[in-house]
Amino acid sequence: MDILLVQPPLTVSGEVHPPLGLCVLASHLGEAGHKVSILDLDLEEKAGGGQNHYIEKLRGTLHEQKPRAVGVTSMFNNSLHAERLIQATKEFDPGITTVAGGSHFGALPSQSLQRIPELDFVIRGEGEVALSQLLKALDNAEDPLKVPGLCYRSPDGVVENRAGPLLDLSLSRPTWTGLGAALDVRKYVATIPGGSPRKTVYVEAGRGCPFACSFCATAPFWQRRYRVKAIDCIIAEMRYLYQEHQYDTFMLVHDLLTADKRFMSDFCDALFASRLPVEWTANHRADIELGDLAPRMRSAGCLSVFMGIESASERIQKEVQKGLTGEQVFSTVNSLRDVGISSTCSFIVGFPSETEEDVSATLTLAGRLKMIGAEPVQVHRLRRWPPAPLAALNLRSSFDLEALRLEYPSDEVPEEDVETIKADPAFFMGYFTPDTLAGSALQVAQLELLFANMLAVFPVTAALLGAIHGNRLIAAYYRALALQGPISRAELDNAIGVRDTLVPYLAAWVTNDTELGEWQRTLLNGALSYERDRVGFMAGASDKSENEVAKGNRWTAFKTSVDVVELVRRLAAGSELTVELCRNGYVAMTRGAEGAVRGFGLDMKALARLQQGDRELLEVLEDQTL
Amino acid sequence: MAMAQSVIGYVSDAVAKDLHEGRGLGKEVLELPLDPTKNAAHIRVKRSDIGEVRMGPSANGHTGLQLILKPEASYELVATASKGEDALTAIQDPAFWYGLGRLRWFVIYVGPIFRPTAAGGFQVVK
Repeated sequence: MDILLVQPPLTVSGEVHPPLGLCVLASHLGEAGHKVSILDLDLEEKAGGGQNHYIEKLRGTLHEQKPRAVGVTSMFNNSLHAERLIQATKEFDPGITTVAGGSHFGALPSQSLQRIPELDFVIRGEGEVALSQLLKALDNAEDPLKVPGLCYRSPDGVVENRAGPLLDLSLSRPTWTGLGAALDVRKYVATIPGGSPRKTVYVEAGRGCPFACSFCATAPFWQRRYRVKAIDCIIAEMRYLYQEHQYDTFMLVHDLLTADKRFMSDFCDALFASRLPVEWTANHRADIELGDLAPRMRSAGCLSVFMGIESASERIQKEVQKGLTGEQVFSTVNSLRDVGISSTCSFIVGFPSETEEDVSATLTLAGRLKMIGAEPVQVHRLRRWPPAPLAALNLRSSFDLEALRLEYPSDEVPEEDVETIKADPAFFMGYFTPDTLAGSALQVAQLELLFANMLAVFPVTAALLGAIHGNRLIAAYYRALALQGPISRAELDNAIGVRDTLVPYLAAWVTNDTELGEWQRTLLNGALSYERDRVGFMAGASDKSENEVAKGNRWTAFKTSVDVVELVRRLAAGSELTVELCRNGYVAMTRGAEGAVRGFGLDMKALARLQQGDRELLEVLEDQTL
Repeated sequence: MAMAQSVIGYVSDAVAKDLHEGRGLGKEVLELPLDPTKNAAHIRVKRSDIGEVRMGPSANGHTGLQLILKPEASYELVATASKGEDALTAIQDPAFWYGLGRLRWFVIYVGPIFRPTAAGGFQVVK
């Protein structure tokens, strides 16, 4: 049967990745003899065209291709767009069969069918076999209602068929080589900005995580069963995308790839032997000890791993059934860093029973991890996505416009969409954040915004605030928030914007913070001043700092009011901070040929040598290979 | 599966090809840089200690090599160091770790150490 698979608009970012879920589905359906094409409205929308252009684009494609079925996928952030696409399809031709799946509709099939009269079928969970069987039944004019995993309306209400067995992914054929004419990958390569150091794409490595974290929606979606594709198949996909489209960095999509160390060991050996000059990332857990697997992963091209750390609180770790400890996290980030693998560490704030002290501990841990090499360190508010166990609890919650704005596939959320989402909290529960003991909705939204940006752009100041305030960090922040008011996300869209917004904001916090001793205030102001100069240097800001004391072709020297070298060392080591750190000094920053920036501490004697053109020092600062 | 020690580094494509094909192992000692295009650190290993040469990825004229070492093999890691006064002290600020480019890190992989046993098998040395 002819089917058009549709990806609704997804992100506001300019670079678009091929829609992995639909590509996997298309490859499977093609193998089963169906004629498939993919309409990626996320890609099409980047060409512009206005608010409802995606609907027009769909109508044009329906007119041109005349498919007998349309399948629409949905993430939580674009399910309203998916809903409108389904309605537009039926409006165009009521004879077209409409099917939906993906993380939102696939997790809430009954609610989806009740909400959208134009939707004929929903597939719950894994889609390949169910959709293939549905299309085959429709093609042969057979009754499709026995297809496992299929959900449909009956005179007695919505029927949800029991899901069939999960696929044996070890038998899967390579996705990308099996796409045929369904998708033109070259269009995606064209969206990568010129000069990007990497060309990145998703490759599915497998599905399923055996753990049972209460906030996680994907583990129950895949029935918590760990499955991986055959190593040869994964490498064949990487080889194809590298050789045909020059993708050189692969996000190996799997809920927890490193859970099977034997698989990882074999994969690393095979990838090294494949001789592909590529790098990759994968999901990992901090309590899985990699041991001597870590250097082999790096040798095979592992660039970074993603780890959900969530909280520094032992109580919260237990409540959400995660069970990580700070020691495990430090040990893992340190050992990965030592072999050159970066750790992305993600934290969640706003669990219902979480207190200000818990959040303070979490953000203090986040600052320490950043200082020892975790990159990036992310802070997210708690959101509830079905079928996460937490989503099934009846928690008091309130509509969260900020969360919606953050994820919506357009810069502005139309008022009409806001009202539609607010009117159906059960269906759009991801945008209704639960109440938390950690603060009001505004307070928690603001702390997420401030600390996420501070950790990214002002890591020394963020870590220093945590080290000084400890469990009172959030109480101190809330006092600053009450005094100074909220900051706006719109002002934080680049490094200079963050600098020019956060420097005066943090300076005012430090000035008015009555819990700080005088030397602590000096230390924080010194760190902030150093970071302001560093951000300006790294971003190539046009404004000149009042701290600039010398300048060369590739370098600039600044005066500082703190011992930056020692401060950074102590923050990384978790050592005591003392008044001796408040002493004047100088730093020099220099830019290498590949854009890498280095910083050096120097004393007054070294500065004088630099100003006199000392060749030995200049050689170091102007070494482009730094 | 039997395991062995190995070291990994980068050499030019031509040198890698020669080594893989058994040429260029004539020198008593092989020096294997740990970072492509850089000479900041290299591993010195005796030619006679190399059991197998495995080729890894090639990029920008450099190829990764994995040298599988024989039991009882030894190697030395040689790294450059600054000398004299410390006029400039590197700041270990995480903000400077961005944009390091590709393959700028290096690793040494040392797997479990196995020793032959009298019975003809292998045993892990703790």
